[in-house]
Amino acid sequence: MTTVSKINSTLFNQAVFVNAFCTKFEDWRYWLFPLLVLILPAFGMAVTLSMPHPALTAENQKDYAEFIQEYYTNGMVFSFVAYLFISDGPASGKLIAESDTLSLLFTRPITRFCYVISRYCAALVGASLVMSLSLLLAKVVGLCFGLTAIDISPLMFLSILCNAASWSSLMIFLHSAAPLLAGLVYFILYGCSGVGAIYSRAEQSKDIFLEVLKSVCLFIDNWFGDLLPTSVNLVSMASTSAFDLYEFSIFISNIGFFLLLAVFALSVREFSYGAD
Amino acid sequence: MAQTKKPLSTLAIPIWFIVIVCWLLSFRVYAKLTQATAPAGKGVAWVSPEQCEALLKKPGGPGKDLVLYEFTADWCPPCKKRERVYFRAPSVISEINNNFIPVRVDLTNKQLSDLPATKALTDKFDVESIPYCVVTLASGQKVDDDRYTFHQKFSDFVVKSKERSHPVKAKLALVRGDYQAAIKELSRELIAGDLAVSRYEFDDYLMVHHLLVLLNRQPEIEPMMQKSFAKTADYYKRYDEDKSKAALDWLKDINSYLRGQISDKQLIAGAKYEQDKANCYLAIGLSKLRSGAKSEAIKALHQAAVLSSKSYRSDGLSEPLVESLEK
Repeated sequence: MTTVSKINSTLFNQAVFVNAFCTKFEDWRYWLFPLLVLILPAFGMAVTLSMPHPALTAENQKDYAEFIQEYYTNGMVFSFVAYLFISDGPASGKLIAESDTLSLLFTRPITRFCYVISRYCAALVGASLVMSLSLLLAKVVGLCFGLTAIDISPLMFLSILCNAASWSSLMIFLHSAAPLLAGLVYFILYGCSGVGAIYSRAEQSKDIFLEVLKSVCLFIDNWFGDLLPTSVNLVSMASTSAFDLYEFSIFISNIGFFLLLAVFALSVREFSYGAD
Repeated sequence: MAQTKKPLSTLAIPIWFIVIVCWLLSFRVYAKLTQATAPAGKGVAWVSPEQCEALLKKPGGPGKDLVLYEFTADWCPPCKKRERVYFRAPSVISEINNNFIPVRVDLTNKQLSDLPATKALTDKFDVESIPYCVVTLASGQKVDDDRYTFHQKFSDFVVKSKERSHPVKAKLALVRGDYQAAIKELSRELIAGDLAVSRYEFDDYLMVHHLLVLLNRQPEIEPMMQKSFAKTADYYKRYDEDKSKAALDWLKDINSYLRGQISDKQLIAGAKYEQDKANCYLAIGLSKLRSGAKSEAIKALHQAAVLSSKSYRSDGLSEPLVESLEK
């Protein structure tokens, strides 16, 4: 009871944030992955454009710009970058013990909610920062080769922020759950998101089993298919479609839902700061 | 031990956070249950296939010369997404309501799919998957279609299909021999040679050339051909050298034929793909038609129709011309 009463009820713990955001990067090996994400698009573009290539006509520029836009709204890239900040990676207990963070972390107990939110913030800021810097680097490299069409409008950066927000929430839930469960949930979510697409033109079947199977698959797709975050491209949405309150409700409720699940998942595991 | 068995006590989730998440999830369920319903009077003014049939048969015509068919079903998640995202964008709504007769073809169940008007449409357009959108003229000629499930630029598709309806109307006017009406439907850029020539819209280029000859506008022909060639060369710069050279060689051959510098046989011999051969036969057919060799024209145009249907597209010109000549 005494322990519980001492729990700090604030939403955000700076030490957890700093640990997730900076401390583990004291190990140089951990720089490799964010650096790779940071320079990969710019490097790929520099290699392509420095080799003999078709002239950069207006159409070609558009193609390049669309490709770059797709990369910076790609869920797989965001999930990878977010996980780099959420996980502890090579930051073992030893590393944390050597760092200044340790004293801060254990000065007083924090709630699981606070821990989750702080780590989520670190992932959100980290992923947004890495992807935004990477986009800027791609823009600069593109300009050096005469490629001017890469979009660096505020909407593009907002898209990066939205994608980072949704994928970080899923990743923090998967990180909080037991590894086997996390893997299973990830595959189930992928399955649910694609199961409805099989029935793109399904005539009614006489076989009752097939009809039941179809109903089940469509039900799963309808109610659980959108739990896996979808890519948000505000640039494209702003120019071609209406504001969709439904899509927005899915986006925002997914974030809250996964954060809540993350806290519950963490509660059934032995709670430790640092080591994965 | 007793304390570790009470993990929930250390969760300490603020009640407001739980309330917000619960509210968002409830809103999500509510939005899911009501997602297909557009605000009354504010959406696309859809009609059923039966209502469309009645409109098209109405004396004096339906008042609009384009029809947009949207094949959809209640159980189809991408169709619902299209409904929410594309058919509720104000620009798309006004564009469709002002220029098209919008027809929603509902394939939710067998009863609806088997309705005569619906079945006629699914058979006519060979609908194998949904969502599927087709634009036709009110007279039934297909203008364009959209098979992409998550078409990011649906508004562009609607605008482009409106533009693409003009060459289709021009072809119909050409077939019935109204050359002035045909050339009026074509854009100034196309007639002036300000557009690149694509293999898949080559029939438009040949049609412009054909109409200019028929209307005795000879001085415009050579500049049109030269400008089109320059635009095409510029367009193909986006591809690698080999592809660009192949495309331009093919256009050079056809232009030589149109200038009377090579024979029919030489033209056909230079074509590698079926689509190119179809275009060559169309050029030959139109040339024979101008010279009055009717039977040879029918033969070449028939060949063009067969070859273009083999490559899964119709040029929209050879087949109706054959039908009209045979009559």
